[in-house]
Amino acid sequence: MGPGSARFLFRTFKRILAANTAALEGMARMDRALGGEYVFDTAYLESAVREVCRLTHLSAYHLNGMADEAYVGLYDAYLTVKDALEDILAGGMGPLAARRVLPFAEIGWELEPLVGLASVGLAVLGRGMGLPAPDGLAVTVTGMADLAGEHREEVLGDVEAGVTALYARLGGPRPLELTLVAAGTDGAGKILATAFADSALAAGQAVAGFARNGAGGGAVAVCLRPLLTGVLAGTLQTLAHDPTLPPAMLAVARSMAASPAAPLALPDPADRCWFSRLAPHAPLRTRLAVKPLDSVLPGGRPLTPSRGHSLRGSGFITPQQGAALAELGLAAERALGGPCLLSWVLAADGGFRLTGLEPAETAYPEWSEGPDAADSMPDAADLLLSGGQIACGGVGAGPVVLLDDDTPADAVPLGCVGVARAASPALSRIVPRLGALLAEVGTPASHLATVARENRVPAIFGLAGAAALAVGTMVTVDAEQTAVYRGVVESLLRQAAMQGASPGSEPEYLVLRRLLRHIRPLNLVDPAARDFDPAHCRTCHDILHFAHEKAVGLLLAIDVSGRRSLGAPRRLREDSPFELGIVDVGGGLAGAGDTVGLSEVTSLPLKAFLEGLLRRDVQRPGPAHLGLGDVMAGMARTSRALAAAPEAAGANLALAAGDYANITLRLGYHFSVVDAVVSDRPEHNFIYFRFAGGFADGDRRARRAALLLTVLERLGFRATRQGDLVVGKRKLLETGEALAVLRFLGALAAYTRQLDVELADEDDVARFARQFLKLCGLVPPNAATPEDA
Amino acid sequence: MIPDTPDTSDTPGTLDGAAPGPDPSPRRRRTSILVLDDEPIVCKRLKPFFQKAGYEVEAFTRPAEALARVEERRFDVVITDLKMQGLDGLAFLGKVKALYPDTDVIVITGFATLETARESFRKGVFDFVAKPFKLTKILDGVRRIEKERGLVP
Repeated sequence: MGPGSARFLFRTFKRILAANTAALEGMARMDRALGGEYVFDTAYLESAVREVCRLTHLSAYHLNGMADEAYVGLYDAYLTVKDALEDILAGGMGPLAARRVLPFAEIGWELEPLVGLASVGLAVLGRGMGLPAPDGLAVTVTGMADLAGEHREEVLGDVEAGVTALYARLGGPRPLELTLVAAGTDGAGKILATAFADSALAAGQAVAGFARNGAGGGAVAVCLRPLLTGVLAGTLQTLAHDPTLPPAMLAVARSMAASPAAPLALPDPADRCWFSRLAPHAPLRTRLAVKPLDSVLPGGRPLTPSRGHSLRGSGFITPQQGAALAELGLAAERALGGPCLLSWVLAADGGFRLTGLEPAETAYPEWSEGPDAADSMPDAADLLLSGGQIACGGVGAGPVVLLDDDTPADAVPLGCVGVARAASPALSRIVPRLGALLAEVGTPASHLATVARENRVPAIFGLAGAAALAVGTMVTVDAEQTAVYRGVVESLLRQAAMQGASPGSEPEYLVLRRLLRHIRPLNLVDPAARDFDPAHCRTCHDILHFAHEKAVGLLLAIDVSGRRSLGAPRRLREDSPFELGIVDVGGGLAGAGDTVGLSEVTSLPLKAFLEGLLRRDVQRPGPAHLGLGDVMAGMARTSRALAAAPEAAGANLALAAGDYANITLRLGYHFSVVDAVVSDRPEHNFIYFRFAGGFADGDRRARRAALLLTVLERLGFRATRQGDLVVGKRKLLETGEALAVLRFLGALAAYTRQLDVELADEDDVARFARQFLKLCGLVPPNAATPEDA
Repeated sequence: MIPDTPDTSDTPGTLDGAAPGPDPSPRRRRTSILVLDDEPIVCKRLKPFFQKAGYEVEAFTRPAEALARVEERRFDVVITDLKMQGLDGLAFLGKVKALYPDTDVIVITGFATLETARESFRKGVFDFVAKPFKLTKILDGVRRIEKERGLVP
């Protein structure tokens, strides 16, 4: 066995799979650690990064072994990622630390020390969670430090370029508001100064002014965004402790009518309203200010003046608006991992816009400790459900809402507790709106769990009985205890709301987020794209995925005419619609001899495929009816086929390992390949399907391709068709599901054999597709159509 | 280091009778736990977790302070890191055992080797948990101690 031989390629491919599996598991564990499931320390971060790097390098190495060093650029990509990770582990901010200006689109939680809390908050709440927060940019700690040195002009140039790009995104120039914030690793995110600008040039000057006036030597950054105007402006403190009130939020509201250019500089009158932290956020107390006669009140209704031509007795914001604001505040708090002070504007259209974010000022030590802390915890009578696994730690309370794949996101109230049967990826778009998420089926390794962690939404997956919770019931979810309680458990919410108490805001978690940014995202998703190359691999996941895709491609290109290098195939000894030779490449077959029965096939994916192939009910009886056009078209193809190596024509060959199968079918004149890994690791299972060719004329071959496409899509494949070439992929399947899909593919191979000559028109495509799906017990895509004879 | 492998065994009530989740049982004398780890993140995670599960918890990041505290009072369970600056975890557990032979100790460490595990057990450690670990895993250890010591009915 030497380089280039089929057996060498297969063995190396298996090594890539093993490295990828281990790396993806390590990545998943790091991701899960982010959700609070694991208790870890800095030593873990170091060892986890080291291991993922080692496996990523191994994957690149093996791919180059398979491809005769065709992808050496992958080593450069690997070294770039590794350098970034080492910098972060050493306390740095990674490659972005050198950037002086960053648009919000490039800012995630992990960059808080570089850009300050204001920019991180607006960027993540707006872009990441879909809350009403503006686009903008940050002048980083690096940029502000460079302003004091010889790079001053370059920084100002960067700021102006950033503002020009922002204007382009916003559709034109507009007034800007700039805030100077405390940043750096010890920065609390306090707003230190505010300025306004009406052009890119003026924005640069305002930033320079901030730098000139200094900030007491601490690290600072600038948040720059459009100046937002409206009817009212104010703040919301998401946790306003008052011993006489239940957990409350404090909204302060002022009119913007007098001076929209500097709303927060207005002297009072300001209304102060305390709302309950719990849905539906009832007003708990109000302190209404005396208002001038010309004050704009909700609904525009004039009130009777009392003494001194002033108005009393009516607030700037209605209880409904207060509740909407409170929901925004809780969503922001979940995202931040702790209480915060939001700035907002109420626009003329009645909607709130977030304009700023600061940490909450007060910590509440009396809530955190004390001998009675445990006494106020819920008792057994309140426990509704217990069990499952932590998908994301934290505590959330709200009314139960049932979710499924078809639930529209805007029908889900902000802050509710979403309950789903299965943790389907389709729920991802709803996650940012939830106060907590429960799923009966699903694991912390699933995609939806990653989305929950990204949005810091407390989540428990695999929780039996969750879907039986009555819709509308108020519940409290304590994800770390994997428990659901009846009603609103204030003690749990208090403990979770304490500054820094919820996982996600500690320095170790920020380092982990920063590391994962260079490990987890998959940027290279389309193997057909022009930039699917080593130079565009930016993360470990990119490199692993690239190596996997290319390795599969190399494996699929194995020339079956050279199959002798694999060893002699054993002939399938069953009543199959066609001959099939099987080569055991490791744990795929039992027994010995020239032939092999189905019972001796130990390869999980091959056995499933054969079970489908050998189904009597899907095999089409009798010879196909050929028209003259079919024969003429077939003749040309026949002569081409005859010119090929004699072993290649009609060679149906399967390579089989315990968890792997590569099945190449050359039935007559069509060619199909099934390539599948099925193991007990859903994250690494995949099924590829390719089909091309056929005996009939071009139209009919294209119709068979259309039929295959219909069926593949019904089986959940991401499938594409070009002419008579069909390519389909499925990944991330549970073992049982993967085997079921392979059985369908086996049945499909038997069913569609020579079917193309019967596909006289487009209606036949739909008819045969329905017939096949019905035979397999699957609901056809258009079930309402009357059944064909 | 041996990382905790992900598992899917977290079915309620299947972990030796120690189901994950809270134990909001009727009031009784609460089992006392001392946590010592020089990494603040570990104390920050373990303390509220055990408090919510109904335990009395004190957490320390400085071995000297933890040592002073155990000299003042006895804890039912001590959870300690092994490698710390100032005082070796094995030395700390030796002192705890010398003062209170019936206090059970769980060692948590990010540097788990067969040798350190063996040495820990020789010194009378009840359980040895490698970081990173699941909260349910350490809760399971504490509940086993409670069961064996008759701290729960």
